[in-house]
Amino acid sequence: MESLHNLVMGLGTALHPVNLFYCFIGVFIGTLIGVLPGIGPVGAISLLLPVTFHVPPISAFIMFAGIMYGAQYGGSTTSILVNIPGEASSVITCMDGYAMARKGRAGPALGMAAFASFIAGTGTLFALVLIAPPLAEFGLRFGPPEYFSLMVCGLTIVVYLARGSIAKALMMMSLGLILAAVGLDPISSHPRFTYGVLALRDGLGLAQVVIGLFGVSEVLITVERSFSRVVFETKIKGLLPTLQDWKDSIFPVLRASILGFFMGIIPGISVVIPTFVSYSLEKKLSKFPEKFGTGVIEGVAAPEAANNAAASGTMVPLLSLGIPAGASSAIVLGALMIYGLNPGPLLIKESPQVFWGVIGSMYIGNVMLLLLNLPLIGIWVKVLRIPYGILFSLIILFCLIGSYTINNSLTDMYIMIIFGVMGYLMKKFDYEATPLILALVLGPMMENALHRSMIISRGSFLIFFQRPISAIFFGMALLILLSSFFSKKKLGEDILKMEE
Amino acid sequence: MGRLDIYSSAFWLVFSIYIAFESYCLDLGNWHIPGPGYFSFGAALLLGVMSLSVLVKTLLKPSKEKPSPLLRNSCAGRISSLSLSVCFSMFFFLIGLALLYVLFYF
Repeated sequence: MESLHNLVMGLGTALHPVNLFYCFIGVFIGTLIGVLPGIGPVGAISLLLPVTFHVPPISAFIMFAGIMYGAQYGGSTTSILVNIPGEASSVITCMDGYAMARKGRAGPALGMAAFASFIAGTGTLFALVLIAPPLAEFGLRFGPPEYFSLMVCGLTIVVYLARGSIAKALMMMSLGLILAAVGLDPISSHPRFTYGVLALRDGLGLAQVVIGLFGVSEVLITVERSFSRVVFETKIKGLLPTLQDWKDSIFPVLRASILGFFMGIIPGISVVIPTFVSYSLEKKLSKFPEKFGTGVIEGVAAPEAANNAAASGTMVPLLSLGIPAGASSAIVLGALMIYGLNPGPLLIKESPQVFWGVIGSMYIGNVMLLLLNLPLIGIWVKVLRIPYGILFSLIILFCLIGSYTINNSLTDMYIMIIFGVMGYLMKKFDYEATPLILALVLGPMMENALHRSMIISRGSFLIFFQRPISAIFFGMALLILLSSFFSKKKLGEDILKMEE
Repeated sequence: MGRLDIYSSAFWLVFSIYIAFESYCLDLGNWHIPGPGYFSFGAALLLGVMSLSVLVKTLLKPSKEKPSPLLRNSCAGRISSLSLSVCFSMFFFLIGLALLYVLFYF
């Protein structure tokens, strides 16, 4: 009953004209970056981060959430019409979506993608309302040792689910922790790795690093790959799916929503893996598995529902425990801290209007996306026809301006360029950026928790194993790491094979 | 990946040694009160161990796959033209900044 009351309060906050405006901006930009290859929600959020410094925190958070789930809607458009996924989470939609478009059923495919996203997006919000507050209540029992072990466990899962080698993911995690140490020491205020550069005293800016690693490097990689785009010239008709389409899709949508939501809660799973798992599940459950890949509507509905449900799922650990589940939620977490909010279990108690306002805005945002996507598909198709030469130059220019405007400092721009080149090389040398970003965000919190735990225990590491909750998290982390050494196959490898 | 892994892991190994040395110079503190270099030293240690393991593994088991070129020949032109356009846009951006500065200053 209390949750319902709070939800009504949240809807009231979200319906405030200013928040409504930012929600619209968020879902619009989210859809746009979902449609455009070369820039994802991570890059877009970091680019917009400096713009939001003068905006109320709740409005900024609403906009970022809109970008996160809006990108999942937009990603399907390019998958269906061009066979190029706008987002990694829409890779699997290409298989049946593009096949449907070739059969002349692009309209129902786009329509079903939008409806499935809407059903999953709104349905899983109920689960979010039910799960997040009790989890936050439970999180209040956590002290520094529990937080440290929870963060270690989260990072271990991210490393385990990395697509390449675990050793390389661990290396990137370590690098993230080293980069997080740049700046003044939180206890002694002693400068670390600053080399006399004044801009480094506050640490490496998250936005600059992310814009470089995800924005610039993604553009360079996309420029390198040569692919031709064949956008359907004919007018797309009949966006509403038929009754048979609904019959075929409704259960896959429901199954994918549940699966996507619970997988999204686990750190490192992100929104990509649930799409592959739900597609495989539907293929296994289908009476005609051989038809998958030839243009069946379930092959579009299930992954699209799964990626939107997972986007809601990632909000659970972020809002209730302050633990990001992926790169985009890591940046949102960083943004919350910049705004002076206290992300974690206390967020619900200290800033209920932010917590419930964001949840309320997600309902409104999903309705906006449905209204925005179906009539505006023609515009998104036109956006797809922008020559890549112009598009990528513009993205790079925005990256440069975005990084400069954070502190009006050229050093930030140089940092962004350095990380852009580094991100490109990391992709070439097969290193994943997600463990690095997560470690960069969690690093200062981990260091703080470790310091406090050591002070509490008077220098004994046993504290992490003497407290039950901490011992469970550490045990899980150890188990995951050990299992990766004994099992030859990893989930990430399977996904990579499927993606290829 | 083979050869590329050798280069990259060797680079990270050297980097981790440098960070461990710098962290040691920063003061590691003790178990009771960790110093400013404590956390980065631990991270550098992990980076070093992992890069060494990748290096040793790659040297002992050389990959049979033909190493892929770092840059595809066909796209070298595109990458360089984009880099050139980035340099140009940065140049104009800086010119614009300088102009704005002059305008507001006077």
